[in-house]
Amino acid sequence: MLQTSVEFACFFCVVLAVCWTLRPYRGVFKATLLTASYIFYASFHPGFVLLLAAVSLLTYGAARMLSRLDADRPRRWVVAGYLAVVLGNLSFFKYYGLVFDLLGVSLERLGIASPLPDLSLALPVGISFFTFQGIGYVVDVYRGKEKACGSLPDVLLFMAFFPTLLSGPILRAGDFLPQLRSPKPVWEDAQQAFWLIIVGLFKKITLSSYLSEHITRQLFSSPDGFSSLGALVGVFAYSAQIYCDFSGYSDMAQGLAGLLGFKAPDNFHKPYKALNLREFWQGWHISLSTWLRDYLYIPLGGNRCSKGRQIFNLLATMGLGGLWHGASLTFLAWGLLHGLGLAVTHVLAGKFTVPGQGRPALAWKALCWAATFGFVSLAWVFFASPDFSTAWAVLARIASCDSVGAGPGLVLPLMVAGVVGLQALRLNVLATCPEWLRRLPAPAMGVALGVLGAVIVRLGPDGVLPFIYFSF
Amino acid sequence: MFLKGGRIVLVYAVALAVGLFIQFDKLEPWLAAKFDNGPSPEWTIVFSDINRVRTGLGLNCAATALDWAAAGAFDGTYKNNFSSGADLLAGDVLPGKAFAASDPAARDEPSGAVSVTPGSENATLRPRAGDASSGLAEPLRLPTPCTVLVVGDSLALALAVPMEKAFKGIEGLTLVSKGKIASGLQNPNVYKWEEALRQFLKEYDPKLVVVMMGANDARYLTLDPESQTPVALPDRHLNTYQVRLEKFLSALDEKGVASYWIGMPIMGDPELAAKCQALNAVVRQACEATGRTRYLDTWNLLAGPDGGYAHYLFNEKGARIRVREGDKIHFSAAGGAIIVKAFLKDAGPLFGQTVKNTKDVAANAPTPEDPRQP
Repeated sequence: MLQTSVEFACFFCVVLAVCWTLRPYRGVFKATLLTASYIFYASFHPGFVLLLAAVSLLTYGAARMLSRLDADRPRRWVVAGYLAVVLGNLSFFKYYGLVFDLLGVSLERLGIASPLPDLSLALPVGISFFTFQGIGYVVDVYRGKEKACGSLPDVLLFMAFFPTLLSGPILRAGDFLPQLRSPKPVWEDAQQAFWLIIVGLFKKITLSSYLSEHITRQLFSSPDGFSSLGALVGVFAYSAQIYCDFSGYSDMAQGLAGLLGFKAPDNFHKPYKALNLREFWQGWHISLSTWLRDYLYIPLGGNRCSKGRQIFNLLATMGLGGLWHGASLTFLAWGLLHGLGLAVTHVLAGKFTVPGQGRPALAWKALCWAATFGFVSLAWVFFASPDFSTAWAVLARIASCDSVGAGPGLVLPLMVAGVVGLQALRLNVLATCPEWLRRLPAPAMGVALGVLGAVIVRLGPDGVLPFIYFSF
Repeated sequence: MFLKGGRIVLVYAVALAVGLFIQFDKLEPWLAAKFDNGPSPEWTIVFSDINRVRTGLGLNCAATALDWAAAGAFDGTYKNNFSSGADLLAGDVLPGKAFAASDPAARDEPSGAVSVTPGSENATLRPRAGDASSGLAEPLRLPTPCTVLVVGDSLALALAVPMEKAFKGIEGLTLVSKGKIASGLQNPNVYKWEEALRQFLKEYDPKLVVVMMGANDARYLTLDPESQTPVALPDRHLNTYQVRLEKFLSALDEKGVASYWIGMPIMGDPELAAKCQALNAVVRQACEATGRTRYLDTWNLLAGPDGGYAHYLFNEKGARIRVREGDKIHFSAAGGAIIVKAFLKDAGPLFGQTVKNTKDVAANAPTPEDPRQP
């Protein structure tokens, strides 16, 4: 039941009506929301529900144990044990195939049969997201930043909250659990929530699907058929596509949560306006980048250490962040490229005299923007390619200066320029609900939203593609 | 002022109702498919009432106008707008009309024995003597330069990649890949393949069409529990499929184009595997009935030595290769290369030469006769 499907739209209508009816009765309200979340998750595979419940119960139990223990040593053992189990679980489902492949190939070269059985596991949707949510909560309790929640239903709902369950934003217990205890809805601007859903649909169904089906899917499966210009525009188109796809999903998740009265964190803030990689990561997949910073980079020593160690910390954090996206060495390469880029950014910071104002300043900014966007787009080649040979083939096509092959046409460059250019020029298009919509009475607003939604779907492909981040 | 409680639900419900009403022309086939034996009379009345209101409000015209206005911006299989463009797209390729004139030989030949003079514009298939394994047709040489069209579902998209690499070794061949994810013949609301195929035949004028699809169609079949081998029960879904399959194949027949239907390889899920095997048998029978479309059996190409599903195989050099994707339905690039290798072996005479790069393309592919598993 994808969020863009008719089934989900009807399911959400029922959930919305029941939840607002039961909102005054908090216990029943939360139980309803929890049931809806598990029904939603079971729609992908009923067996996955057991896994989600098991990780949630383990998270609740670990946090409760930590709250009852005073001595540091047993508390460490609890956290270590919890991390070993949940990360082991995540690794088993996500990386077993990769280990099986790599180990099998290495051993075969030595003439030894692989000891691992071929399990061909199906990856439970959203496992990376709810695992990270659980880890964040337990580590916060261990650090004393959060109190262990005594309510099992609250923790179960925190782990399974369906608007954000599949692909985030990754919730923080400190933000979400108090919302469950609040008698009033935390998110009150329902008009903005509706608008976010419409904008999310537009980004996903109209823009992302168009870019995917008109250039990027073909480019990253068979790059040889493209001219250099076509391949270059295709790479930029992927930059636009993945932004529209994932930020569209995040907008929808935020809007759906908002209609239920909950505030989900911002996940994107114009990442392509960035003038350096640090700025890019302050605006891209914010809930993951801040998670990696708080639970990996800083515990490794962060930037309060020697330059060499700092570079190692950046490479380790971004490399693991890359692998978090999927069991492929291309994701690792993508992460390491960003780690390297961030390391260079840190090393070079303050080494140049930056023009303060006027045209030189503008030219400098333009140069910084182009370098950052170019680097980010280059790194996406490894993210989007199924293997290294495809990635090299895409880059080789761009470098070949060959005019033979499919070109970019006119619509694609315009679309890419629109998606990227609006951010680079820092124009706030589509960010907030327009006043004309806010002023409409409720039934008229419903009609307007319905027409907008129908036109968006009409302009999309028949048979909408799943979100890119669903596979992570 | 912010909306609260009941008003939020009201706005959402109205928006949903309006959205579904506007999109009802796309929604109706989807809804109808939810009924096992078609919509009941009551539902049929509801559907026709909704359509009447839509027509009265001018929504049908507006939807068609929007589809037409936007059609120029969309390529290939992106939209399922062929119904609205029936005049433009299928006008002169209706049964018995167009290609009878351009290919008189094809019209005069008895069914199942259509041939073509070497060097004529359209290469076709001829029954292959003593070949009982597949489509009963012998390929003649394709004229060059020419276009090879690959159509079907996501399996066709996956197949087109190694096939395109293989075609680089053959001068004058251009591959056009027109796959549609999640499509099939059972689901015209996802994609109308018969009309789309006619459009592509007209647009690209291919000399060879390669079809691969069925995993989405197989799910609709009900298997005969009494049968030892998977056989589909003759229910409404099977009948619908057979009718649409016949229409699809007749589009190829009318064009007089050489064509291959690549059967589905073994699947990982036992239930889906049985249904796919049953569907393969239906397709094979239909292809044999046309005498023009050659069916290529790939069921065992990606199977392990025990004949069961295999995720990995060993190639001729003894290196293990992953031949399937994680969903156990799609094949990997290496798996696709194995199928392409088998296709080129079977269709070799069609290309009239030894395909130079097949060795490179399928270098890592195990031979179909010798699949080895870890």
